[in-house]
Amino acid sequence: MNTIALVGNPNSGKTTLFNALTGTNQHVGNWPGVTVEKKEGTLDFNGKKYNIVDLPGTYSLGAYSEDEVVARDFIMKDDPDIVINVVDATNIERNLYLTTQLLEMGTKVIIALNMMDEAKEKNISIDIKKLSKELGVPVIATVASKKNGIDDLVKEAIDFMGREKTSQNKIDYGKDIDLEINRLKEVIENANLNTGYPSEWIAIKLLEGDEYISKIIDKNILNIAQKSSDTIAVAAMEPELIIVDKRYEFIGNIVNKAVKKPKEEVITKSDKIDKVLTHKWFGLPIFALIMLAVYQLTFAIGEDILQEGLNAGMEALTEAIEGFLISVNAPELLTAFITDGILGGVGAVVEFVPLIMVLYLLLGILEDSGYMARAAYVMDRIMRSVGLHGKTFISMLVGVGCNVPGIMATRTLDSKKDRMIAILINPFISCGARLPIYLVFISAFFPKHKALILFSIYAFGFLVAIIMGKIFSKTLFEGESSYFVMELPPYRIPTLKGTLLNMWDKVSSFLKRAGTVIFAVVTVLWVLSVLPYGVEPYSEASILGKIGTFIAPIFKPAGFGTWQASVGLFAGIVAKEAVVATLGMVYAGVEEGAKLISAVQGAFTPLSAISFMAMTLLYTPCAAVIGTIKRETNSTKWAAFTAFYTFAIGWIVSVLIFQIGRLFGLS
Amino acid sequence: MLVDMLKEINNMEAFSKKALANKLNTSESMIEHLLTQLKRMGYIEEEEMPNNFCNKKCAGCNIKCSVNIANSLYITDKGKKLLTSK
Repeated sequence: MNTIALVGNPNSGKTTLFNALTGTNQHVGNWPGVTVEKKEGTLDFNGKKYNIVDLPGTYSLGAYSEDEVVARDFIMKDDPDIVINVVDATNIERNLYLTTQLLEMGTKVIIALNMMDEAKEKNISIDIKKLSKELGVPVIATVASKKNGIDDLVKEAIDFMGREKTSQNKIDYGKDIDLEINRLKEVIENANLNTGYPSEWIAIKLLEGDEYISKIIDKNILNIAQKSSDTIAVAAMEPELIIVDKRYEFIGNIVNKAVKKPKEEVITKSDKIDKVLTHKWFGLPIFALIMLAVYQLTFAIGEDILQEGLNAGMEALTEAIEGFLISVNAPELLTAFITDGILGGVGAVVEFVPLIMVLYLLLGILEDSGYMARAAYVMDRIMRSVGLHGKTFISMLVGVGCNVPGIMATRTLDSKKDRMIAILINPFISCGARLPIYLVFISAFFPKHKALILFSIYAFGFLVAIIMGKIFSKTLFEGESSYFVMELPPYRIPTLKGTLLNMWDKVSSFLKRAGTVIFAVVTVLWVLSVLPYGVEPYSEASILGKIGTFIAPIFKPAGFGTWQASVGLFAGIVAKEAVVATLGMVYAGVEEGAKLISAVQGAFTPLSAISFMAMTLLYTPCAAVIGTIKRETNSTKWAAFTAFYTFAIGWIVSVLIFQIGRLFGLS
Repeated sequence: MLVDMLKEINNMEAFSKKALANKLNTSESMIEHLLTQLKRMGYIEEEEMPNNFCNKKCAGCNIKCSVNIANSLYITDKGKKLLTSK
């Protein structure tokens, strides 16, 4: 029984053709020794049976995957009587690459130019006679899905089987390569290798550096091939590149002669949008405005609408639990632990979930739409202009969620210099855990400019990161940056489901952490705030109060030299959410029903609130970040350096803000 | 064509497959094919930002991250050598 093999790119309609040819007379197995599926069937045509083999879909016949090796070996060793190369007419250039390799093999091949109906819809016009003439093989137009042209294809295939193979048009690789191919071919023929492959084809593969062929060929021939490669290699162009390029040149010439495509719109809607969003001068202000709008919406929806409801619920819950505990004569200490410690502490963080939800929803929409790539590109230019690697911005952007993955994202930076700088400056990017801190102080002191203040904090963090990055690049890490080009992906409309799932992912992680790490931190701090036994709870006389009092003088020049602020910052080194949780706990005990915001209004001034926020923005990152830096740099020294230098920067900036503000009469 | 594409990538600050296709008067799918070839031969490297940079919560991370911002291409030393020779 004659064998017909089908070969073609994935999605070229090869399997549809196979099904059309074989109907139900097919069976599926595996190619021996590999996990690649083998499909065979029987075609009944004019009373004669033919074996049809559907080879794996591949873009080429190199040795880069199991599929390619299987397809190639079947064609060359099993020697089917004819190969039908299924070519997608709507993507002819790409599909013809495989065709060129079939021609190199010297295989008897005819082309099924498939999906002709779709090509017509796209106004692609193909001169089949010209195409056939240029390739030197028969070409039959088909629409396999509608079984059009199948009979003609089969007739031509059967007819061609019986004919002598006419000389298929060969690719001109250029004088130098053709010379070496012929030289190698002679050597291979004289060696009588018995590989089952044509010697000319082996010669081409050796010059291409085909790994599979290199392994099965005699070492002497391999050395000769290497010498040929060296002879051919001109001006950094290796023979492989020349050969591959010549194939594309061959395809290009054919397509120019035989294919007419409609002139595509050169400037698309997406290009027009990008012209504005990535503009040299307007790109950054546009990015700033978009982020400002995000923060505005975060407050408008998250705080004004959603948080109100949650706050009322939390208050009611606290009252109910307190009432219940009192009614069952629960120990006073337990009641205090639950209401002041847990509900006051952890509750203070959970209260901001609505804002966090809205913020991450909006950021998710920006990411999914493709805009963030544009933002990264705009920032890339700015980073490069100050001598930083553009991709640093991407790790900074990731750091907005959490500095831990932000630091891990620096793995994409090749050069050690770029990576170290990106790691050391990432902690200045305000992470999601710090958000509740700003929200408390902004709500307390800047109710009319919430979005602007929040935007300013984030922007300031980026600014400090860039400045420190510049300093590091000139001092600690000199050397060359590596070059890269960023891809601008196509714009897409975010799906509601995807965006909501993404947001819920983040919020649920936040809540889990509140229930675990923050709970643990608050518990420990609460115990310290009520000991020694008999001391006034949450007072300066408690252990926590004494620790805070000891640390507080450091922060006096910055305007928040209170023990409560000090222990809050101290707790923030464990986890940043613990700052608000600690403040919530220590201030919850101040008076009955005291709210954190009103307590903060009593303990801070607008100026000291700004300096405190600057401190929390810039000072020592949380333990998880320090641990990540240690792991990623493989150095305790850099982790310790980060812990101390960020504290120093935070302290210096907050002191400057407070002292300069005082000089100007601000309070 | 491959060298031309490498030159175009080298000249671009940010690239889109669409823009490259327009410049080289070919299709986007052909550009993808050519990029695959250049990658395979070691003239460029492509880095994709994974959709979920951390599949599980990173130790100590409070936000399970999923940031898919931008892929990028590097022209390798081999690619730079080719460009400077042309």
